[in-house]
Formats: sequence, C-alpha cells, structure tokens
Amino acid sequence: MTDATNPHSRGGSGRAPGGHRNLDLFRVRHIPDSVESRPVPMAVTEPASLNKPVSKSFYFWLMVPAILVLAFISIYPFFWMIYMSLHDVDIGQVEWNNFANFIKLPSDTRFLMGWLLLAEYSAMCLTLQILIGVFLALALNGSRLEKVLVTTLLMPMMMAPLVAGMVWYFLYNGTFGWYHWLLQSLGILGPKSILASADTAMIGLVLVDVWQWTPLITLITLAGLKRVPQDQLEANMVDGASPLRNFFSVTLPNLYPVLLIAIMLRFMDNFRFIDSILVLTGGGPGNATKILPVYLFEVSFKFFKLGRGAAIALILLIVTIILGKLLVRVFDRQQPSKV
Amino acid sequence: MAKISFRNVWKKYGDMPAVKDLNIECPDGSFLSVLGPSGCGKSSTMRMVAGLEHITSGQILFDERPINDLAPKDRDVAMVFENYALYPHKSVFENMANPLKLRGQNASVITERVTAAAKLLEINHLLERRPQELSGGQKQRVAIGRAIVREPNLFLFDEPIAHLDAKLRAHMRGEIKHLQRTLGTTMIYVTHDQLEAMSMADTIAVMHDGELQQLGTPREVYNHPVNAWVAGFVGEPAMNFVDVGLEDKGGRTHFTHGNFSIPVSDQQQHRLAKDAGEKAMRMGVRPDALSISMTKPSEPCITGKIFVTELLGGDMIVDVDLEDCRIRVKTSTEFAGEEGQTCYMTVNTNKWHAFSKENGKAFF
Amino acid sequence: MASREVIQYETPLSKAFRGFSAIFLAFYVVWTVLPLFIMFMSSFKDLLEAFKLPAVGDWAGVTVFFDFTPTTKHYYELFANLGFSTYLFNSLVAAGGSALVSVVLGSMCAYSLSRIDFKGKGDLFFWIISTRMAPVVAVMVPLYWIFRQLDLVGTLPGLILAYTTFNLPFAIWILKGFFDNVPYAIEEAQMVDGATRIQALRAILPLVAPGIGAFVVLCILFAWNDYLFAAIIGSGGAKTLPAATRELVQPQNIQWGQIMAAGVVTTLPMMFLGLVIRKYLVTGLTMGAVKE
Repeated sequence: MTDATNPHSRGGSGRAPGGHRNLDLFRVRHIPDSVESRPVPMAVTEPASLNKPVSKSFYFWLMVPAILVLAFISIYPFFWMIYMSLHDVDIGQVEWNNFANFIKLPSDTRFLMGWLLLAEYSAMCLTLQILIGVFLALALNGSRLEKVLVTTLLMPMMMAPLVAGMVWYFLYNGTFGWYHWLLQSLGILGPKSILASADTAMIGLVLVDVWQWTPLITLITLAGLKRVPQDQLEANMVDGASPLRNFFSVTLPNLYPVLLIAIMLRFMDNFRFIDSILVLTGGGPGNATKILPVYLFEVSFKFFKLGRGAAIALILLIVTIILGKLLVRVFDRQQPSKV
Repeated sequence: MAKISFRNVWKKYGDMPAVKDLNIECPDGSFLSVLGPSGCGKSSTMRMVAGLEHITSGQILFDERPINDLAPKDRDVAMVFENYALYPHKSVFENMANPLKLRGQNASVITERVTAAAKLLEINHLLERRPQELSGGQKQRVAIGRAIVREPNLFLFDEPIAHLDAKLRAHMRGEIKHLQRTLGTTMIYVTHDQLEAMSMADTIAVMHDGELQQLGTPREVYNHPVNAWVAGFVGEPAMNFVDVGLEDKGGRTHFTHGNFSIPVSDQQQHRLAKDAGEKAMRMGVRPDALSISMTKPSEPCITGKIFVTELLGGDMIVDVDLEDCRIRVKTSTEFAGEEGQTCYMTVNTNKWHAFSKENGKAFF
Repeated sequence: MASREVIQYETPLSKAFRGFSAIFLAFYVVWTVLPLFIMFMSSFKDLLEAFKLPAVGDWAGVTVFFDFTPTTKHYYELFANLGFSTYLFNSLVAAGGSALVSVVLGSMCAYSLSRIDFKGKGDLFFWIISTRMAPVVAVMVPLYWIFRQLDLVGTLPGLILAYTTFNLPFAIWILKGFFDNVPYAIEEAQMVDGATRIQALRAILPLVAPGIGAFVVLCILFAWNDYLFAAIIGSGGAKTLPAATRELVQPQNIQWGQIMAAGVVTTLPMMFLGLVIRKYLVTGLTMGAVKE
C-alpha cells in the first residue's frame, strides 16, 4: 500500500529498504520519559524534633453544647429504657421483674402479629407508592405543567398526619363519607365502611399513607431523573436504542440509588408515623391493623405498662438501628465524598 | 518587607511527609518562585508560611524572628489563592477593603487605598460588582488587589494564573513581575509552570516529592541543572535524554549510542574522570543545543530518521527517530526535511549534560 | 422517559404512554386535591349540611356538595370557646422554640464536623442520625418517664426539649452539608486578611443563611405536625393543634365542623411554608441524601 521510496509516504519510517521491519499501527513506540529520572537522594530520613501540634479545641468547644443536649435526649433515655424494660413500671412503683417482660413476648400473639402486620402494611404502602410515584414522575418530567402540578401534589405532605387521618376518617365514614360513597357507587364496597371490617381496614390505611406520601417518591424520582447523565442517553440513542430501551437500560439503572433511598426512608417512616392509624382505626377492628408501633403505643400509654412497653421499644429500636446502618451505607454510596 | 528563612522545615500529614527538610533563604524584596509538579509539596510550603498549616518540624523566620506560633492574622502576609477565594456576598470594593477593615483602618484611608489599587490593576470600573459577575481574569485581579491594599511583610501567590487562558497568562506574567518590582515587597510565588517561574523569578526553588532539588537563578537552573529531574522539568520543549555508553578513543572519552560517537570537551572529561567506573550515562541535550541538516557533516554527528515536523510560527521542532528513542530538535523554519528522510544532527557540546544513570546526579 | 434536554423521537408506544399518563395524571391530581378541598369546604358547612350525600350511584347528585350556606361559626367556636388560640400559640412556641434551639446548637456542631477530622467522627455521625430515625413511639417511653420525674410533662419547655430529639440531629446532619459547600479557602482568606477564627466563621454565615433559613422552616414543619409528643408529653399544659384536634373527637357527638376547621387552621400555615421552601423540600425530607 505505501511505497517505501515515495518521499511522502507516512508511517513507513520503520521500513528499511529490505522491508523486514514491520510497523504495526497500534504498537506503542518506546519514548523515554525524561522526567522520571531519579533525582539525587538527600541524606534525610526523619525530622530532628517535632513542633507542638496545633490545638483543635476551638472546634471541639463548638460541638459540646449540641452533643450534651443530644446525649441527654438519646443516651440517657436509652439507659432508662433498658432499666425500665427489666422492671414492672407503674405510676408510683417500680419493681424488678427479672426479664419477665422479654420472656412473655414470644407468647404474646399481639406482639408477633404486630410485626407481621407492620411488614404487610409496609409492603403494600411501598409497592403502591413506588409504582404510582415513579410513573407520575415519568409523566411529569419535562411537561409544561410540571412545576404547577408538583406544587399541587406537595400539599398532602405538608399536612399533619393526624389531620390527614381525621379527614380520611370523615371520608371513609359509612354514613356521610364521600370516599365511601365513591367506593360504593363504583361497586367496590358494600354499605359497611372500609375501616369497619377486618379484611379491608388495612387497605383503607394503606390508601391514606399512599395519598399522603406518594408525592415524596415522585419528587425524589424527579430529582433523580434530572440527574441521569444526558450523554449516556444520547450515546445509547446513537447506538440504536428506542425510547423504551433507553428507559430500561440507562434511566432505570441510574435511578436505582435514588429509589433505594426513597424506599428505605419511607420504610422507616412506616415505623414512625402512627398518628393517622390511631385516628382511623386505633388498631382495630379487633387487632386487624395493630401494627407493632401501634401496639407499643397501646401498651405504654393506654394500659400504662411502661416496663413492658420499654421492652418492646428496645426491640423496635434495635431493629431500627440495624435498618439505619443499612440506610447510611446506601447514603454513602450515593455520595462519593466521605463524612 | 521581610527576609524569609526556612530552616529544616518538615511537613507531615500523619505519617506521610509532604515537605522534607526544607532550607531556603529568601532575601528581602526578592521574587522567589517555588516550582514543581503537583504533589511536590509547594502548596504545603506556602500554606505553612501563611499560617494555614502547622509546621511539623523546623522553623520559618521573618527577619530572623520565628513565626511558627503566630496566627495568620499576626504574620502580616497577603495571599492570593489559586481559586481566588473571593467573598461571594461582598462587592469587589468590599472584598478589597476587607483586610483594611479587619485591621481597623478608618473609612477614608480604606477608600483611598482600594481605589489606588484598583486603578493600578485597571479594575476601578468593577468596584460595585459581585464576584459572580466577573470573568476569571477580573476575579484574579481582584484577588491581587486584595493583597496589595496593605503593605505586608510578604506576598504569597499560589498558582494565581493557572486558570486563565494562555494569552491572558502571558500578559499577567509581565504584569505581576512589574508589580512586584514596583512595590518592592518580598514575593513567594508557587507554580507548576516552569515558564512562569523562569520568566518572573529572581530565584527558583525546584521541588520534587517534598525535597528541594535546586535553588538558583533561572539561568542557573536552566543551564546548570543539578540533576536529571530538574533538567527534564525545566525548559520547553523538554530536554532530550539518550542513554549512552562511555568509550575511550585515543585518550578522549566519547559518548556512544547506536550510530553515533561524539567526544566530550576537556572540562567535561575532567569531571567524568573524577567518578571513574561508570560505563554508561544518560546524556541530556536541549532541542536548541542541536543543529539539524539533511547533508552529512564532517564532525561526528547523530543520524536519524525524521518522524514528524512541527511548525511553531517562528521556530520548527523536528522529531527524529533514532532506533530506540526519539529526540527533538529546534531549528529554523527554513528546514526542508520531510517525514521518513534521513537527517544528521550535530551537538553543541558546551551545552550538553551527563547524568548518572543510577541517581540522576549531573556531572556536567 | 429520557432526561428533559434530550431530543425525543415519537414512537407509537411513547405516544400511547403520553396519552395514558395524561389521563392518569388528571385523575391523580383530582384524587389528591379532593380531600383537602372537602376539608376546606366542610369547615364552612353547618353540621347537617356537611353530611349531605347523594344516593349511591347517583353521579349527577354530586352537586349536592356545593349546596350549603357558608358559616364561620366553627372557627368562632374553636377560638372563642374551645381555647384554640392557646393551642395555636402553643404550636407556634413549641415549633419555633425547638427550631431556634436546634439551629443555634446544630449549626455550631455542624460547622465543627464540617471543618475538622478526628477519630470516631464516622461513629459520632451515625449516632447523630440514628437519633433522628428512632421511632418516636419507642423513644417516648423512657422520655415520658424521665420528664415525669423532672416535672416537664405538660410544659412548653419540656415539649421543646422533646422536639429537639429529632430536630437537633436533623439540623446537624443537614447544616453540615451546607457548610461543606462553602470552601474553607474563604475562611483562610479571612484569616490571612486579619480575622480570628470566630470572625472568619461569622463572615461565612451569610453564605449558609439560605440553607439555614430553609432548614428552620423544615424544623417548624416537623414539630408543628407532630402529634405523639404533643399528646403524651405536652398533654395538659402544652397542648398543640394536632393534639387538640384529636380531642375534638368525643365518642358521643363528633363535632365534624369544628374538626374540619381545626384541620384547616393546622394545615394552612404549613402549606404556605411548604411553598416557601419548595426548593429545599426534597433535600430536607430525604435528610440530605437527594439534592435537587
């Protein structure tokens, strides 16, 4: 292809007239790296003596007030919680009862059911919230009405969960509730309120949680969508992907970390927010919606068995901390910078 | 104005040494440039002078007074940060007035000095703007302005023009040098760009891996590098390095490599003799110490094949392939060689260097 | 389905998606807004009129919802006879107080955590945010007992202290992020210019001010909307709006009109605040994990 005698030939510099030097296009030529030459080593190993280190006390003093308050609010009660869980605690007397609180737990059906119901509740809430929330985000992303609609969808989150519970209590009422009327007119329900029968009460609660918190998933997903690297999408399109393909191979994988955070946060919120459940069903009918935190509330503040409550609270707390560690690890993976 | 001294200064981050046993004397009023690649310890050095880093061991002295334990505000230095560190919520005027305000100057003195500095730097039309509204070059001048409104012991400039485009950088080099001469304040200027150091400084301190390699004037560092590393780092286009063998031909040592064998000069012979026993060296020769021609000359020369030619406007750089390496020659734009052709290069033996292969130390 | 700026090419599938999603969106927005709308309207309805419903399946009869004479008597009842002005005051003080305490202490701590490194910093950090994630129900058990002994139950300071349980760690966590975004070089420049460390800190406060402001609002939001702490620890002397609203549910005769009015009073200010800090909402609600 190239004429060795042609003065304009390129890449033929390796071709001796005999033609036995074969220059491969991709072979890297060795070019000595002049700057890597080792400099003269000085005869130094360690410093003769060290100066006094700088004091960080200014910063530590700034942290002290907050740490003190936090310690009083969290560490001190934690020890109390352990203490209380080992006693029969009642107004007026505290009596050591030697782990009886814990021993009774495995046979306490309401305790065990509490966990099951909590899992059921969380699963239903999360599934619906993720499906609807992500779908809404996809629908809204880039639309002209995005800002307005997102602001509108924010509103339920601003409500006190208790007030939300009250409003839905009104709406679910079998006699004068508008949503009950709606469900009845659509043929989904009979005359009994959704909250009145054990099989449907949980669904009623789930709907309230979905109503209030799906927008959070939407907001988070929208934030995540905007951070999908544009160049990845464009490269995929040039490679030949359709929009659907693009969604599954580029958008979705980039959303996973953000969605994971959303799921973990909402999951933990299910442990914390029982305000609306207390209003809507109080755990009933019977014990059908007595998820564990609600049971805990009942034991501690309705029956005032604080020792027992402390034992249950301790277990709940431990589970939460384990979940929290997982969450923090997910956080850290999201952000490249360390704490 | 102050004379700055570094005596056995060390900086360690945990167990990692960043600066090792630094010893420098910088006379009052002079322009010292600390030059080196990233990670060589130059920024740590500067920050120790400013008081932003703790000096692990050793002392830094201003006019023979140790300043190790002084807070930055008591050291009276003015610093220009690499990323300018301007206060985003203050106007340009307020940014420049800040050091004076902190020292309790009254308003009329402040106004007078800020406007004088702004005029000197030609930014007086920007005094009411916010930093976000300024271009890189303007921000940099505000940062310099903040430094010159008072008369500090010392200026510390930390790669101030690194983020400007090439043309602006070239312009600012002259401006900064002129500024320092006018004000007469001692200046320590940190950079990784050897061109900046060479063109502006009175003295250059070349650093590598935390150690001071060479302390000298630009001419000294360029013409008499103390080791191969300094030789390769300073100078653009970079010095060529060729591994050569030593051969004694009739009482005269020759550097031999592949197809060439060139004798050394008397002085150089003398220096080599002192370290007899080395049979191989690294020869260093700058592109401007080589001449290239298409016809074979009578003196001993180097033969090679032209790989590529680069026209740089007023000069031409020719990359020449020797069998196992490539060297670059600077020549005039009239050179007519083309790629693939054989060419011949002669060496100005007064300007070539020999470095030990084992530790890079220069023999000459 | 792609990021906003990428050119979209229409396929039949994406057209169908667009059509379907528009309909779904419309229904969903209505479903979301409806309870709020009903709450608002019902607060102005006389009790019997509020209970007016069309017959099952009578879709046209929906208009009966709008058939009423508006009255403000429920609001009047709340504030004149049921002491809601006190409860409103309590909510304001508890929420505001806890936000203030959390901001002051939290920003100092966040600043330090942002600027220095020390052994165990990671553990300290984890402890701080775990206090935020702990279920209120669990935390409340020992807290109630402790507060009883300290005579803090039913007092506003006690409630404020209780709210710092979640507001203070939240403050530290979020504000640290804001301080991290201010380059330390600016404080260094201040110190070289002649400032002490405290002066340098004061100098950068304006740069974190918007973040601090947004966070204060979020603190207020969380404290205001809380029911559990208010009901148990605030019960008696420090009842806030949500707790008082709950108590309007008497088993014999539920005063729905008043409840709806109380709901409006509790919700309206928070909706307004939500609009104000819209920008920081995602960051705040995800504890800084997702930045918008």
